[in-house]
Amino acid sequence: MANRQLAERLIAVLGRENVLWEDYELMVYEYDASIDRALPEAVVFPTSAEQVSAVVKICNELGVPFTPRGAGTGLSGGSLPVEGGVLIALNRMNRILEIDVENLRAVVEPGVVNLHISNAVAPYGLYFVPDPSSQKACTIGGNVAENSGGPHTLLYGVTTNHVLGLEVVLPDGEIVWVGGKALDTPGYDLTGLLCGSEGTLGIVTKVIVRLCPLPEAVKTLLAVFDTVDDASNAVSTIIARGVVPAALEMMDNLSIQAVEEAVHAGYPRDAGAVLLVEVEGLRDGLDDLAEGLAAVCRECGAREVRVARSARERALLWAGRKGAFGAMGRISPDFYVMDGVIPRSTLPYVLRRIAEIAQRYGLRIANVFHAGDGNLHPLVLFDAEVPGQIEAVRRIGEEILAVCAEVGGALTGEHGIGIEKRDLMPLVFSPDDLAMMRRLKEAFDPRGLCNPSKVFPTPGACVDVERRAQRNLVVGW
Amino acid sequence: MDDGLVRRIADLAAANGWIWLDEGAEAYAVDGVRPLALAQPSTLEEAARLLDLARRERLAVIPRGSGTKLHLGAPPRAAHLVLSTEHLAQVVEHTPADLTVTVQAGTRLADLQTVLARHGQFLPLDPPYADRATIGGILATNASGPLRLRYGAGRDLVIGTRVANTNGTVTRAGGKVVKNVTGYDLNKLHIGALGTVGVLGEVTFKVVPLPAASRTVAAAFATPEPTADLVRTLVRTPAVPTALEVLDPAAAARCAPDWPGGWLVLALATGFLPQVRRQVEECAALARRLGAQTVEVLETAEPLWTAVREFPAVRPGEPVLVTRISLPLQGVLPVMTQAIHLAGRFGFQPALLSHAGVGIIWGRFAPAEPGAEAVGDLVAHLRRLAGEHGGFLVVEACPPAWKVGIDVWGPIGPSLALMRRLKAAYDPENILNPGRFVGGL
Repeated sequence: MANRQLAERLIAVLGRENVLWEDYELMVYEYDASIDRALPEAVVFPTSAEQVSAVVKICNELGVPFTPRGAGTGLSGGSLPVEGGVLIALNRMNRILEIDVENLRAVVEPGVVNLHISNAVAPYGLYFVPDPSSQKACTIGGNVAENSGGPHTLLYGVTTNHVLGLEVVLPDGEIVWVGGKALDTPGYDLTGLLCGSEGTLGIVTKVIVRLCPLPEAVKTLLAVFDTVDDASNAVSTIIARGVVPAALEMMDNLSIQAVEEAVHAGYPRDAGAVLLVEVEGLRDGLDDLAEGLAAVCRECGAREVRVARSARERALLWAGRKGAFGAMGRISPDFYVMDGVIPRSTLPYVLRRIAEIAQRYGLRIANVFHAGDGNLHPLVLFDAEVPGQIEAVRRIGEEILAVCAEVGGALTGEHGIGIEKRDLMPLVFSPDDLAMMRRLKEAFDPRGLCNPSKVFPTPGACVDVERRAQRNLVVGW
Repeated sequence: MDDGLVRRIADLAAANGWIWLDEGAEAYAVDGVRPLALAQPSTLEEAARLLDLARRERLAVIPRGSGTKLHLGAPPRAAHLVLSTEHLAQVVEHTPADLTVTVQAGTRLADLQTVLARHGQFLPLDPPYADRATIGGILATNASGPLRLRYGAGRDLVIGTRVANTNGTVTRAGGKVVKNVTGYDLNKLHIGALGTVGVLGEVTFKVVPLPAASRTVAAAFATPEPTADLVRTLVRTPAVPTALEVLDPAAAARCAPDWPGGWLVLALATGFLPQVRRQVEECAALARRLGAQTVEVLETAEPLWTAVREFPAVRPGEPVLVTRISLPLQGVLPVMTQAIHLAGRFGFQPALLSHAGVGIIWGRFAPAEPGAEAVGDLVAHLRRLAGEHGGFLVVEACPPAWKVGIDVWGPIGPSLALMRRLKAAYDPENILNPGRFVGGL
């Protein structure tokens, strides 16, 4: 069988213990955290750039597609081998190669877990800023591929702002370095182009990241509002006062109810919205700043404002927000996480439209919102056992993203296009826009073997992908 | 240039309303190469149609903002038509509540700042030529300044672009929201690309509130070593300043003539007053502990920061070599001190200013005597020095005659092949700034 021939070639390079090719082994790797699945023909576990290169060269020789994979926490199907071929699992390339404290850099392999970087450099008073909620599991290679965010992006930027250089195995198997420890490498910003390319332009085998000094102090407050409009107004007023908080998170009434059911965070069940505001930096004046923000919230109609006075109180305020996705399991058998982005100022309008859509389909939608950067995470609640509901959820998703596009927003803030949203790309990009993106893909990957069928719409898709319901999955921010 | 081509371009100019540059060509010359015609499209679509025509006619196009950085890059292989963005100079949309602004590429940074300031906001980019430089030119040359330590550079602030392509289309990447991973980040393709893959027409930025307070710490040292200790310590503390500069004695004399002399460290603290006070106290105390001769805290230091920001700027024809060296932070001081020695060895008077917190050194080298025969040797030695410390050197400006035999960008390495493929993908006929960019692109 064809798999066997491919496997023999891979085993010759990597050794038997680093190649999976039996069906029962492969099934473990047909999922990521999205709602799709696809079976690879082989899974390999290289331990060096040279091995990745050798695998890629074999794939080129045999005309077989290849797809990189980190921890499989992706939410848009970016690591699914939708056209079969070889899944290149980078989990064994998980060494922190260098912590360069003097130059505020670290050099790491792609399989290093995001949080492990910050843990490793904490003794020096430093950290790696991007902190997607899956940071205990997700890998830096996946973060680079998806240009991951997290709750602190408004103030500090996302992965691309903290990655300075990459070693990459290009789709033809060549190993090149782009960028470096110093800024502004002459030539095109290949590092910037690779960040967020969803593993379709090459396979990252080393990453140079920027390290930043840990903030000295943090202040967190929670404000309770009767309506989402009041909470939105508070967000705008905070920004207008010249404050850019480190985090600014909002939850609507349905989210609050779910959270109270699950974690008893002490949010009033009848509140229209809660707003979580965090400021950080030097401790000097931070208390006054937090008090000022509390006053703004009260001016904007907050019925209650709580300011955390200890790390324990802070954790309590965050408990509801951090538990929000998981809490949905208490009020619904299944839920579907979305990731639209809108200009902050359009929030009340967009939430009204989302409510209308929910009503029309007879399903409930809870909203959790990075109010600071406009990243909306509607959670569509459904029951996969009820015939037709999965399809309804898909249509709801499309309608909500159409609203995001209508107000000048984007389809995804941090989860990626992958296969999940590729057919919605025309909502925000014209055929001409997409043609320019395709030129980039073709310049990097003329044969189209590197993580094919992602990002771009594929009209009349003939991809053999089974859809499954997402059961009580705790993912994303 | 052959007469047939000149006549053809003259015909096209007449048909398309381009300005014939007979007399004024010198003002538009790039490293002595004079273009023939000037086009000033007033829409992005018009710019794209012009590029499409130029591609079909194989005309070499020089995209131009206000012309402050035409000295960057290798001399062009040809220059037929200047595509000026000066009629694309509108602030399209500023939404203060969203902290975003959309602006046409020909807008001057200074004019944009005026609009933003009305709402208490600003774009935290402070490149040289700040009074005249346009948004498009700043981004195409990836220009930045002292504020980079806190706010990053163009690549960190741009969230969306509209570009005129050589195939005649106008296309968009990114958007108007600050967090966006929808499709490839083609914004990055154009930043620092010197207009070689398309012409930036419209840009959306994230902007920030103007800081409530600011103070400057100026500390003078007799010897260079303590400046490195000061920088190394500050960038690793939570009190890291907004900008952090180290000036050698010559640069200090140029930027701060009233100061007593020596090596000068400038630290800018911005934010809310209590935090600013704390930053200033820590920085000043550390400077004193490290043996600073003078430490002053300045409430306003605008002229000083203007001089620092404009340090790399040159007048047209000014006989000076300006280099930019990027390095891992640790290399900054050793490279500064050794560059001074190298300059002397090759007969140049150096002045060196570093954005020390981000690892960028600007060097100005004036020949001690007329003529600059050794400029090639100086560049080669400085480049080797930068390389030894993990960095690289780009020649930012020098008189055209000095560029003969100098590789202004330096070696690119194996990724050049990929860059060639990108260039071929977006400018297959090689009409945009031909020969000015890395590796002869």
